[in-house]
Amino acid sequence: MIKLTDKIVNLIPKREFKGGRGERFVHWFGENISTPENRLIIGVTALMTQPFIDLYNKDVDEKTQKVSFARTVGRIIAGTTSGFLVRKGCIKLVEKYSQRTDKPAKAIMKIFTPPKALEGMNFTYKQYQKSMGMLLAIVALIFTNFAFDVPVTNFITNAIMKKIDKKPDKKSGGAK
Amino acid sequence: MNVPRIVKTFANKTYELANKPGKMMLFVGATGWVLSSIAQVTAVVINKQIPDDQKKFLIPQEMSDACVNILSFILFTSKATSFGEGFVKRGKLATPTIKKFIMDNKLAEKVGQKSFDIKGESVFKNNPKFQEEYYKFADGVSFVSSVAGSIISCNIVTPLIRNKIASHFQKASLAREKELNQQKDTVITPQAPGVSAQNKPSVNNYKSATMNMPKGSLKI
Repeated sequence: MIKLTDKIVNLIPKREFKGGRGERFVHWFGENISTPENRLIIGVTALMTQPFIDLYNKDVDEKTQKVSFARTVGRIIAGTTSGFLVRKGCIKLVEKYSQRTDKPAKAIMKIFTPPKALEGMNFTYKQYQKSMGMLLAIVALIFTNFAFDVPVTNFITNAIMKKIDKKPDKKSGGAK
Repeated sequence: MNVPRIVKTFANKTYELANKPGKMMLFVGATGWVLSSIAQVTAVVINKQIPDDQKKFLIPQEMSDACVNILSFILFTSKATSFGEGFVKRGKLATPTIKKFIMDNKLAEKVGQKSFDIKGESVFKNNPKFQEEYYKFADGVSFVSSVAGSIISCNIVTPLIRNKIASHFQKASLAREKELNQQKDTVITPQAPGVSAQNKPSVNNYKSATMNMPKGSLKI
């Protein structure tokens, strides 16, 4: 039985990128975008959608809508900041300590160098460095989630709640 | 300094997965969401400025956020990544370099076929220079489709579904709490043997009982 994705791929006609902006964009994306940038993109787009989905959630009361809105903003800002910085930092660390075997360097500078890495294949090697960086970032995130995300999320949530509470309630005609 | 064997093995395994960025992002994403969910539930529990009624919504919201994110990632994002990878590996989406490679190696008839995979061809495996060019394009397409799928799954599908789940839990929790409070407010007195529910002792019952007692029966 042909999978749904196969069926759809079969239906769509061939397309050739003729060296224009489309191809340059795809190449640039593959070479420069990794999980840190992906995390940043998801975070920025999340800030444009998720808080407002929570604010206009008809299944809960008004107070819960506002608290949920404030928490979602705090969570996205804290999570995106730590997620981007930790992932970027770990990738930089791997890039520094994964010198190619054919390059003269101290042993410690090759701690993350895979013995199987083929000579040349620079693009694949760069992708490996990003992948290893991502995996190290998971370990680091165990600590930063509690040490950074939790307090920063609560700080931003409480700050937004204070501002929301200060504003007059429109439904009651301004009376608080 | 000798690098431990486990580090070398781990590095080799990661190198083999280097050109599968979609799978790597799925694994990293899923693990990240679970860790984030645990931390955010902790944040809600320890935040004394959030009232308990709102915590009854926020805690299920955070827990379901991770679960729904992982499911929608598998359903949407990985499918989107598969689309992108499928187009490129079957030659349906190609650059001039890839097209030239296909034409030079007489693979044009196979383009678009379900079983065709450029990476599986022997001419591909024996051509490291073309492999670099191919992966530059294929990984780019994989990332673009993965990011597009992530934006839809994480920022639209997940918030809508997790809010439904969380509001259901909040309502159930508040209803249970209301029922418990009502039970506490009801006076429950221990019943003596032979006393039925209809004849439960009360002030009115006592008054009417004493009024009906024969007068003079109590003598001091």
